[in-house]
Amino acid sequence: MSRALTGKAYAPASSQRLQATLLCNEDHSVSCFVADQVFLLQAHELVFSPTLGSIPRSLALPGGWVFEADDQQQLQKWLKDVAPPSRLHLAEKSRVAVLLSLVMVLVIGGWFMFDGVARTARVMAHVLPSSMVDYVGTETLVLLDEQVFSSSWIPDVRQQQLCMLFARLAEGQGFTHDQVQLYFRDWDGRVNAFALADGSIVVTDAMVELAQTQPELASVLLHELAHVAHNDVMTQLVQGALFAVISAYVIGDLSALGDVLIGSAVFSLSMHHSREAEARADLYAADAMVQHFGSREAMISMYKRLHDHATVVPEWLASHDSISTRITRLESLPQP
Amino acid sequence: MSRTHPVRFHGQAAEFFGIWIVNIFLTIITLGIYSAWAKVRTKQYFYGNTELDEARFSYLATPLQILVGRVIAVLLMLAWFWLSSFEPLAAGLLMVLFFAVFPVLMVRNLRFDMRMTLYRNVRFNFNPAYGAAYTAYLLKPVAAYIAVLLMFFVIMMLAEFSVVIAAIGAVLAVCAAGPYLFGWVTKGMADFMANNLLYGTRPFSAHFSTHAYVLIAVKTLLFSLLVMLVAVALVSAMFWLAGLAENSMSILASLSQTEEEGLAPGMASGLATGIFMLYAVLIAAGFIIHAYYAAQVRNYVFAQVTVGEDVRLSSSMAPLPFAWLELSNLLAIVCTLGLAQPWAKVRRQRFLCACTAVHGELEALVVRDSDDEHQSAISDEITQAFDMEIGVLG
Repeated sequence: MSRALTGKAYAPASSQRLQATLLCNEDHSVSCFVADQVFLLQAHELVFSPTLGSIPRSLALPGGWVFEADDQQQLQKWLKDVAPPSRLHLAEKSRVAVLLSLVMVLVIGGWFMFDGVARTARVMAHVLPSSMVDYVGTETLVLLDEQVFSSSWIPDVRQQQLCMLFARLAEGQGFTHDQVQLYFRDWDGRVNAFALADGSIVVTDAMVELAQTQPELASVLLHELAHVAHNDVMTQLVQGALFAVISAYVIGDLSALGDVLIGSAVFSLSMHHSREAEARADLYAADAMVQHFGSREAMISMYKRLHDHATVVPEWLASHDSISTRITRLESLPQP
Repeated sequence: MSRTHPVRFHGQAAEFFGIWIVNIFLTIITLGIYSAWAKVRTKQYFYGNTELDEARFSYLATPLQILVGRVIAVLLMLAWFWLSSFEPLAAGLLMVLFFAVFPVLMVRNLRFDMRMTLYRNVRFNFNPAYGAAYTAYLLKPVAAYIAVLLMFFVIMMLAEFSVVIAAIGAVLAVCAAGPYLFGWVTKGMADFMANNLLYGTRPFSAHFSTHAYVLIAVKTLLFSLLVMLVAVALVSAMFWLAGLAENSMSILASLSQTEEEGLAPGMASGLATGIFMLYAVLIAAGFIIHAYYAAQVRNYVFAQVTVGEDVRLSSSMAPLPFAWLELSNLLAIVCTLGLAQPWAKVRRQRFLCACTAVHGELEALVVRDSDDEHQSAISDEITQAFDMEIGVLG
C-alpha cells in the first residue's frame, strides 16, 4: 500500500513555500509532486533530518529541494522502515539508558571531585617547572613580609641553634640543604608555622616561645617538612584552580552569584582535602619524632600547648581537624 | 496590514534532560571528543524546537567542523599556558596579538554561526567589512578608554587647585561623560552587528541613535541607585531583626575583636550567616540591575531592526521576570550540582522566545540563499575557548 503525504516544499536555496505531495510506495520508491514538477526517486537518495527529541523530520531531495510533511505522524510511520531512528535517539528517549547515564555521570563526577582532582593535582604539581614553584614560594614570602610579618626579635644565637636543629632534622628526612630553608618572623604575636611552595618554612616568634624544649619545636618543624616532602602547597594551589575551573564549567556561568557559590564550593572541597593533608603530615612527623628522639611524647605535649592556646573556629570552617582530634589520633598510634 | 508572528519554543525540559545526560556520559567516556557531537546535538535541539510562522530553524554545522575548531582552540590554550609560565614576555605579546585579531575572529565566529542557521531552506549570513569591525570593537572602545583616563587626570589636576571643582568634575564625569561614552561605544557595536546581518540575500537594517543608548545608560544608572538604596534598607532591616533575636551588638563587637581573643563558634556562624545574607541581597540587586539594562537594550534594538522593507522584529522583555528567571535558574543549577541545567536552558529559551515577535507578511517573503563557501568553526571555537561568546540576537 502506498502512502500519500501532503506538505510543503522549498525549491533549492529559496524560502518560498510550495504545496507538495509525497507518494511513498511499498518498494521504497518515492514520487514527489511540487508545483509542475515530479521527482521519481529511491528512498536511499533522500537525506533525512536527524531524529532528535520530538522535532519534526524533513527530507532533502537531490538537487536541494526540501520536503516537510503536514502530518508528522504519517511521515514517522513511513520513516520507521525507511530511515529508522538512530540508536542514539533511542537511548536519549529510554528511561533506563538515561537513568544509567545519570548514575554513571554522578559516580564518575563524584569520584573525580573527591579523589580524581586530588590525584590530578598531585601529578600536575609534580610536573610543574621548578622555576614556577620557586617563583610562587618567593613571591608568597615577599607578600607576607609586606602585609603581615615583621622581622623576628629572637636573638641571633637562638636562631642559629634552631637552624642547626632544623638542618639536622631536614638531613635526617633526606632533604638536601638547598631544598628547605627556615625563616623566623613575627606575626603580631600569633602562634603559627607554614610551609611555602618552594620549601621555605616560616615559624613565628610566638611559636618558638611556646615550645618549651627542642623536641617540641622539632615536632612543628617536622610537620612542616612533611608538607614540603608531600608537595602539599603546590598541590593545594593546583587543586584550587582545578576545582574552580570544573565548578565554573558545571555551573556554566561566571556571574557574581556564580563566583560566590563556586568560591564556597571550592572552599569546602579544598578544606576536605587539606584536612587529609594535615593528617598525613602529622603521621610523617610522628614517625620522624620516633626516629630522631625515640618517642612522640614531645609532639603530643607540643600539640597540647597549641590546643590550650588555640582560637576556636567552627568545625566546618576549619582546614585542620581540631587539635584535640589530632592529639587523640597521635596518642592512639602504637607505641614505638 | 502587517501580521504579527510569535516565536514559539517547543523544547521540553524532561526530553532535553535525556539528550543532555547522554551527551555528558558519552563525552566523559570518550575523554571529551564526543563534546563536538554533543554541541551539535544540543544546538540542533534548540534550533529545531524554535518555530516562527509554522517553520522551524535548524542548525547545520557538522560535528567534525566543531571538532577541528575545538582541537585548534585547545592547542592554542595550551600554547598560551605554556608560554605564560615560561616566557611571560612572549605571552604578553601573544595577548596583544589576540586583541589585535579579535575583531577578525569575532566576525568569522559570527559569520559561521549565522551561516549554520537555516530557516525555511535559507541560511543567515554576516558579511561586514573588517575595517568596520575594527572601528566598532577596537578603535571606539580604546578611544573611550583614553577619554576616561584623560578625564581622570584632569580631575586629579583640578583637585590640586580646588576640591570643590574637582568634585563637580567627578560627578559630571560619572553622570554625563560616562554614560555618553558607554552609549557611544555600545551603539557603534549594535550598528555594526545589525546592519551586516543577512537572511539569504536580504539585509537586516537598523538605525540606532546614540541618544537612545545614552538614555538607557543614564536610566540604568539611576535605577541602580534606587535598587542599591532598597538593598541597603533591606540589609539594615535584616540586621535589626537579627538584633532582636540575639544581641546584635555581640555580632558587631566580634567584628572588631582581634582573632587572638577568639570567636565563640555560635557567634562566628552567626556572623557567617549575616555575611551570606548580605551577599545574597547584593547579588539579587546585581541581577535586577543587569536584567533592567539587558531588557531595555534588547527591546530597543529589536524595535529598530527591519529585514528587507516589510518585516520587522519586536521584543517585549520585562526586567523583573527576566531577573527572576536568571537568578532562579542559577540557584537551581547550583543546588542540584548542575543537574538542573537542561531545565534552566529550556526555561530560558522559552522565556526569550515568548517575548520575541516578528511582524510582516512572512508567507510572501521569498528570499534566495547566498552562495556557498567553505566554512570552518575555528574562530568560533577560539572565541569560545577564550570565553568571548558574542550574542547576536540576545
